[in-house]
Amino acid sequence: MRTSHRFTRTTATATGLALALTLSACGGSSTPAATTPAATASSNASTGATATTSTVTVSDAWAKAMPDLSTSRMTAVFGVVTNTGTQPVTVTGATTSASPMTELHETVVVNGEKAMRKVEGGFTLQPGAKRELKPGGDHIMVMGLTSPVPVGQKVKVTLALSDGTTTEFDAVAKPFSAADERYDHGSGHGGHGGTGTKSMAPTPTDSATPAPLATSH
Amino acid sequence: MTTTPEQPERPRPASPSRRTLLGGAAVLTGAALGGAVAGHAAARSGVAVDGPPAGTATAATTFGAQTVAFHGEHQAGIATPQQAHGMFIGLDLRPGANRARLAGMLQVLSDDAARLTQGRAPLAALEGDTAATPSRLTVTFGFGPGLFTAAGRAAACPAVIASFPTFTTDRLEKAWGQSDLLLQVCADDPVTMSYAARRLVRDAAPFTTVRWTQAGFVNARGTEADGTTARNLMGMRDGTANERDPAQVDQVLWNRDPALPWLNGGSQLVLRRIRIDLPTWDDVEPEAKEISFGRRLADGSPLTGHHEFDVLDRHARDATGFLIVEPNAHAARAQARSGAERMIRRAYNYDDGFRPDGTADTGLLFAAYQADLATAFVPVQRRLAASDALNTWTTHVGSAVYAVPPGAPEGSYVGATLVA
Repeated sequence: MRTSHRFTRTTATATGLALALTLSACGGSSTPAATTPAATASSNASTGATATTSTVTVSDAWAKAMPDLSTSRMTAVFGVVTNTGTQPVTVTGATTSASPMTELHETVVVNGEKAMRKVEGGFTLQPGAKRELKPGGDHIMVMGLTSPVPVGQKVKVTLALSDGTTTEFDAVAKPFSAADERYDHGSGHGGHGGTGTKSMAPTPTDSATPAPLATSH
Repeated sequence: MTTTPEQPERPRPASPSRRTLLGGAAVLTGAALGGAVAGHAAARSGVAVDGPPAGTATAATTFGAQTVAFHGEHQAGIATPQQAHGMFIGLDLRPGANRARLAGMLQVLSDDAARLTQGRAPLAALEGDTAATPSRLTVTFGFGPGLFTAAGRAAACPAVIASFPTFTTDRLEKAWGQSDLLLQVCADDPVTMSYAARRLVRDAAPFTTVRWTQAGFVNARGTEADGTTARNLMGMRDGTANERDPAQVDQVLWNRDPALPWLNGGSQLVLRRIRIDLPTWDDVEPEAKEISFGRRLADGSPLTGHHEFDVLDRHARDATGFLIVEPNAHAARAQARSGAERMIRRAYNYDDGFRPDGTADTGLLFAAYQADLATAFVPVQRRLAASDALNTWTTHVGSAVYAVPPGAPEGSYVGATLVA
């Protein structure tokens, strides 16, 4: 799948920013909360700044509740991200109040099954565009939860943007039990938590004809 | 399927009158218009058509898009004109409930209700097609005594709800008894209602277990004109005595107890499951039915009046000096003796199917809202328990009472005035 390649159309600075976040995320247990201002950032931006007026808004945000961390310490944040500005902007990273490690993820089809992986370069939105982060699609992956996330708790999320601004929103934790996609990454983070192993796509019995979906109940 | 006057084609297998309509007429396209013409033609030729011809239903005759506002001073589903379907779900709190967890639960459920009632899927639902026909969906929350205790706010529970009396005719079954939390889910469309109930209970599941579900119905929308008082399964118009003037409705419904400021804009609900022996009632002569009820079957008019909304006069006597309405007629016994006895009745029929012996489990989910149960339902039910002709056929087998919080403003949630 060449899905990730569409995210490479960003400024060099943003790409460098994304890489910086990537490297620090893989290597250590904490992700810097600050964003490095891009060359075109407004003069108000500074390292560790709270949100300046951002053109990116997030609505209908929610997180998968994790009231019990015994089987998994990961969760995900979803919502609708809108670029209300006149310039393309890239969501280059995210931090949350729930854990020190957050990544932007996309869902791709690998060997006929949906799988998730980190998005290199972040999500780019054209002016006026909306991008829905949803189960089975793009989302914000939250790893290394430090404490349970019960239903109803608000997770504070901060998105880092390529123009040097940030945008903050609350994601309310909701029960969610649909199948988790397989996590596809060579770094050994392991599979996502979740009780189901039900595949969301038909498993092909041969390369030509997908098998019918099993109706198992 | 296109014809034009300039293009006479070989005869179609349609009625001649259809072709007459088409002659010189505009081009026909699409099955819908063809269907309309066929139906119209059928009508012109005197052929009976079952219902409107296919394709003639327009947006004006469908109700699925109609909504009732969720946010506001009062919760919806109380003064709202009654929807065709209603479901009452009694929930009990799991151990470990506390004020903070209750706040979290109520925020999530309120958000779900706010979305569902406006035709949107709740957060975390994978698609929104079923939610897209809200059909006047309302979701109304009620708090039982257990919820106040769990929140550490027992003193905020109205005394009559914390300790609700029993009545001499009660045959209450614990299965239909008091719960900590109530969801009243009503809509004109049963699929919409079922979906909303399912999403709400799903999100409540981390905090609650389900004690009971009581689902009911009145006449389907469109059976009679909107606003017609629905019939119960005894065949009687049910709810005629409700106040209809909005100012009077407000007087009946909303909390006035200064000791419970958190409840201002809220109300109190009694939900009684009334089993009705319909097979026996079916064998009662219509005249006897009307005498027992005090109203006529045909139109719900009181025996002392001519029209449904004529006020029943319990004291009216006929020419020979006898009371026109029997003193123990239901409508006479139930009639409010003072303004404080008034309620807004929002009852739903229930029909839970047949037992092996062929008898049916049927009755009335008697739901009534009032500012104060202690001055309304309690004295009225005492009077009915003491004497009511309908007691021959009706038995109260379930009872639950709730404080009904005020409405939530935008950005807030139902119950915030109690647990926030």
